[in-house]
Amino acid sequence: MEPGLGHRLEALGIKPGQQVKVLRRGWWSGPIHLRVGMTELMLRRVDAARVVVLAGDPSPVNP
Amino acid sequence: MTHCLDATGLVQVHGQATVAVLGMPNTGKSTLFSQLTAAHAHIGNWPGLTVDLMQAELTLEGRNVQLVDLPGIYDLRGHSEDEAVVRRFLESTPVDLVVIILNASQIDRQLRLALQVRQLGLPALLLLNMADEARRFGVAIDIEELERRLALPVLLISAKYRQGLAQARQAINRELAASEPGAGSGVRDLEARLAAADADRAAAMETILDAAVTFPAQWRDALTRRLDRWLLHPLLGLPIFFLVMALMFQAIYALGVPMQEALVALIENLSLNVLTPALASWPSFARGFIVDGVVLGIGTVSAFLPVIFLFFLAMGVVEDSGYLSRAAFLMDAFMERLGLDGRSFVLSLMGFGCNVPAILGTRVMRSSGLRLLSMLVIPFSLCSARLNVFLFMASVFFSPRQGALVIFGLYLLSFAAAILTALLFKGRFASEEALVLELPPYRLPTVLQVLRRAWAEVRHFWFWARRYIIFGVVAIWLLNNLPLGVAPASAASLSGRLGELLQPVLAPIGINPRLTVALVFGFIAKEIVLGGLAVIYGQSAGHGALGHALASEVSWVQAVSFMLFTLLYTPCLSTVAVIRTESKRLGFTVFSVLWSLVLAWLVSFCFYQLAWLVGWR
Ligand SMILES: Nc1nc2c(ncn2[C@@H]2O[C@H](COP(=O)(O)OP(=O)(O)OP(=O)(O)O)[C@@H](O)[C@H]2O)c(=O)[nH]1
Repeated sequence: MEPGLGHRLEALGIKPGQQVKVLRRGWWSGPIHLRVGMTELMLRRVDAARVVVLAGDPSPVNP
Repeated sequence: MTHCLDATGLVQVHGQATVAVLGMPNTGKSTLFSQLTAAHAHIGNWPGLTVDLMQAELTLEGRNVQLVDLPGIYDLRGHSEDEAVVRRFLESTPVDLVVIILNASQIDRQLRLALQVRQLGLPALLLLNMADEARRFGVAIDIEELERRLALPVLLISAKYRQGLAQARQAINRELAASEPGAGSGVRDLEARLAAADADRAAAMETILDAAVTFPAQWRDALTRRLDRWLLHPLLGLPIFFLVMALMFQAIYALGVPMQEALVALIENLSLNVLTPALASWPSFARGFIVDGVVLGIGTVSAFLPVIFLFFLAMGVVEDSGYLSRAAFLMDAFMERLGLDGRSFVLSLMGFGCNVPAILGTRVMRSSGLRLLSMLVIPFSLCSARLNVFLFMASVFFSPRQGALVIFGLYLLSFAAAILTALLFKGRFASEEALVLELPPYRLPTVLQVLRRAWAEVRHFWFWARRYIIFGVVAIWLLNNLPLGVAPASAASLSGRLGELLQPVLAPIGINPRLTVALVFGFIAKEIVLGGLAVIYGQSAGHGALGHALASEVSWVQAVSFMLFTLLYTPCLSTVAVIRTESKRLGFTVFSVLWSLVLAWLVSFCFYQLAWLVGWR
């Protein structure tokens, strides 16, 4: 991962162990709309692909 | 107050405390800053750093304070330009207090920045802004517990609704009273100290959040959820967005143009009825220089102001409401394929009003390649000044129905030129920037807030633009009136000779010497192309006389070629000036001007020569 991106993602709340909820995907493989903690983000799929996500458990995302 | 030079050569003012405002982007830092400083803030070069920072000198409860607004940053260890600026600032400037401002409802991630500041041992105060949103979203913060755990004073405020500001002022004052002004020094080994503390910070943050903050079990912003369902709809999202934009431009145009005309008329009146009589005894060359050079120059700049004001007003509403980030989301897929991103699209759209604020807007981008490519593309947006010229030419050379088609075609060409430019140069201005953007909750902007912002932008525009535009207008005036004694803009004048000189290049695209001079005018600003034609043909633009004179000498094919060229070459001197100041690169600025000239010439050439072959005359 490019060094800047890791820091940026962490500052925006995407850090190891954090639950992430995907709200929607943009048309024509556009960016994805995420909710992380109390923050909503858009992230390009290429950049999102560099983040390892484990399949979430289906219980409601908290918060 | 005395000034003296300290060892680093910086001017230090005794008895004045330096307070730096530090926060994450979008936390309301600018809002707070303007609330605290009223109208006293100015943008200026910070000694020792080659960047401009917003600064204000104010008296806070009887104490002289210099308040500095640092760029919004996510991370003191981050890699962006702004983050480096903040680091250099902290290393080189002895600050008496750091006011940290965070978004209270996002304290779950933003607390990190406060912890970083604390690890540096800087005297600090934490303001948790947007208390209203935290309440609305069900984030409850135990302030006392937070203060205890952070060992920092903490206040919950709402800058936009002016809540807690008095307490914030008092708290700043209290903290400053506890320390000797100018006693500190810049932070040493900043990066090493932060890196060393990295591992502990995450754990410390968990503990503090657990103890002091309760988050809602369920996300509560139903309004944002519901609006996003429509505004980010896979099929309807874009049409809705274009509709909103079209309405916005309609409104700006409908209101701004009459205001602009009224302003121009006022200035013309003043110059005709007040200034000209007052200068009656002056030699005619000097008088002409003042009246048609300097005053016309100031008039040209001022004519921009109403539209710029309205423009920023509308953009302020769109931006503060949170819709602009949604537009970036919607268009990003397309723009990514052009080497740009969602934000460049939004800015190009702004360019259809006026290119200047759109280029200023590229400041939100961090990657320089992306910024430069956006700046290269934005000037092809058909701005309202160019539209004026086209409306006039179309009415002279075409029937209303054909005219509408011609104008529509010019809009299409404007998009095509932007897309072509991006595709050609995306390799040269590659962006390594990953696009991670916050989509803030929808917010209702307040009237005062957008008015104040638009006003600040206009002041800023006026500040830098007048130098360049006035210089340009004066230069053109001299070209038209030198050597002494020639008829203005005639063949014997410098500009007339220039027109002749350029014939080998411009004749193949159907531009005669007189139209060439008009194009030279257009380089200053498209607003004065019609006025320029009027001077050249010696006819007033008002009553159709200019149209007749023009149509008797120029064919419709030439007219279209002239319009194509006008659409594509350098929009105006203000745009060039703002590209220069924003890119900070002379070479890039020259390249941008040359590319637009080359493209304009090629397109006009192809059109004119093809038309000739087909037999259109
Ligand atoms: N609800 C709410 N919104 C606020 C408050 N303060 C600021 N805002 C809004 O938050 C948004 C961001 O405010 P700015 O002042 O531009 O934030 P900033 O931190 O300067 O942002 P950058 O310019 O990106 O660094 C604007 O839409 C403000 O209207 C507040 O107290 N409550």
